[in-house]
Amino acid sequence: MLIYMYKQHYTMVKNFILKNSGDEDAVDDILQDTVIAVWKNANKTNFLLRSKLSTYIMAIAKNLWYKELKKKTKFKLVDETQKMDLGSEEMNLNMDQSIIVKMVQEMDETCRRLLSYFYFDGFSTKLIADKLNFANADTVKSKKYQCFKKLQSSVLNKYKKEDLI
Amino acid sequence: MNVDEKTYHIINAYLSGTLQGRGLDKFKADLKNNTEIREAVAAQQSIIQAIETARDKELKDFISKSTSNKGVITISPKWRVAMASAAAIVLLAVVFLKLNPLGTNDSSTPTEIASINQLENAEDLLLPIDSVMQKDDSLADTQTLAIVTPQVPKLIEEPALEVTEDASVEQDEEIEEVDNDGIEDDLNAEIASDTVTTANELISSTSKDTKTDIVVLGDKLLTTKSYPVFAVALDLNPSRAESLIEVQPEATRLSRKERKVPEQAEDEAAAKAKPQLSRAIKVQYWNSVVNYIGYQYNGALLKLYGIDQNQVLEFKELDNRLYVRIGGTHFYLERNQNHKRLAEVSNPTLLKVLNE
Repeated sequence: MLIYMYKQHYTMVKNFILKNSGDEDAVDDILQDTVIAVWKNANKTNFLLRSKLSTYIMAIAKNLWYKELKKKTKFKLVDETQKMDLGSEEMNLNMDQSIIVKMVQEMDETCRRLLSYFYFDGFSTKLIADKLNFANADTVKSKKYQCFKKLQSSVLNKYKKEDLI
Repeated sequence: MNVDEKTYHIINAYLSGTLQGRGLDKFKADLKNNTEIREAVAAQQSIIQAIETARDKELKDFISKSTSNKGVITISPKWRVAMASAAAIVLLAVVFLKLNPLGTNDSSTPTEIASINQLENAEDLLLPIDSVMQKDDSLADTQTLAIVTPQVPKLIEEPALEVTEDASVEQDEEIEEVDNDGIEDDLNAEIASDTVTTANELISSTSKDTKTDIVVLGDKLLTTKSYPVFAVALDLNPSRAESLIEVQPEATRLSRKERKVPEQAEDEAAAKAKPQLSRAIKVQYWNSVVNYIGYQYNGALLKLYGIDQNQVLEFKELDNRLYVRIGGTHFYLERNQNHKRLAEVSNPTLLKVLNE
């Protein structure tokens, strides 16, 4: 699915980015992000495609590219909704994300997939139960907590408690 | 920072935006007052972010691997047009060469050429021409254009050399190798180039270049005879005379009433018919290759097809119409340019007059 979307719209996105001060590397990055965004959105329960898939993909690609251009020109829009969590963002900055990412990658397969499916892909607990052969959604919920707890413990062991504050 | 399962799920709901109503208000109040919860939210958010990053990375790696350069081939529109044009030209060239193969004078296939070369080297093993070529004069033909393909020597049996079925034979210039496909092609070409013979000629066409033998057969003239034509004069009033006229298919148009002539009047008409020698007619007897029975009459010459030349013919002319009696049956002869089937006279009154 992802590959199909990628290949199918590569030329279209490439032409757009190359015409808008982009290069070949940017094309790959933007298209990958686009395809993944579409994937994530499509998995949402309330997702309804009201246009052609190519139009939708192109719209996302354009938005992502314009954001990228704005970053390059050091112009940042302040999202008012993010202001609320400013404190927690500051805390996040104290943690080395790459290390946590590595920890996630080193988790056992089931836990990693379960957490990925839930937090990234946005799958429902029922769907996750089907995919990972769990008895039911409740089992997934408790297993998710256990996996998350396990990961959190690993992270806390790695960092001092003060680092998170 | 040790959160229980319930708090974990509440934080999850808060971060995902699904926590609403009183629950959200209560959680916001706790978040303001309780440092431990703030820590728990921050930690959970970091971990979720890491999970998302890991998954994002995983998917991107997957896409990169699956679409590494060889997977995605991008062709600019200009190149697309150029490639399409080139493909079209190549296609046209292939089609053209298929339709007009190089060296059309020699229609032999590579297999045939190889076989012929092989045979040329073994001339002393070839059989006499008479045993190879057999022309059959009785081959079927059409009325107007008879095209007969001579029998092709499919297999020349030799003790030392085995010849494949599609091989043809060549010996000096006497033996002509013939290929069925080649003959068909040549025939088509000949027909197209107006080298078609007329229906009444027997043409044997041999192409030395292509080494094919084409025999075109036509109808055969058997003999020509001259016959007297007797004019039958009738002294009838016009209305009665009409009833005697039988023209096919015009006769069918006459009403039944008009056809019916009283018996007495018929007898009178018959009695008053006076046959007189008026002229002579030239009759040619033809043998049609498709066993066609009919005639062609232009007013002076009558060509009869499929009629035995030993048959005695009697010609009578009535009201400028010619009738012929063949073996006791009267036929109406109509002037025509094309071939026509013999139409038998069925009108009893007319038959009575003609039989006088």
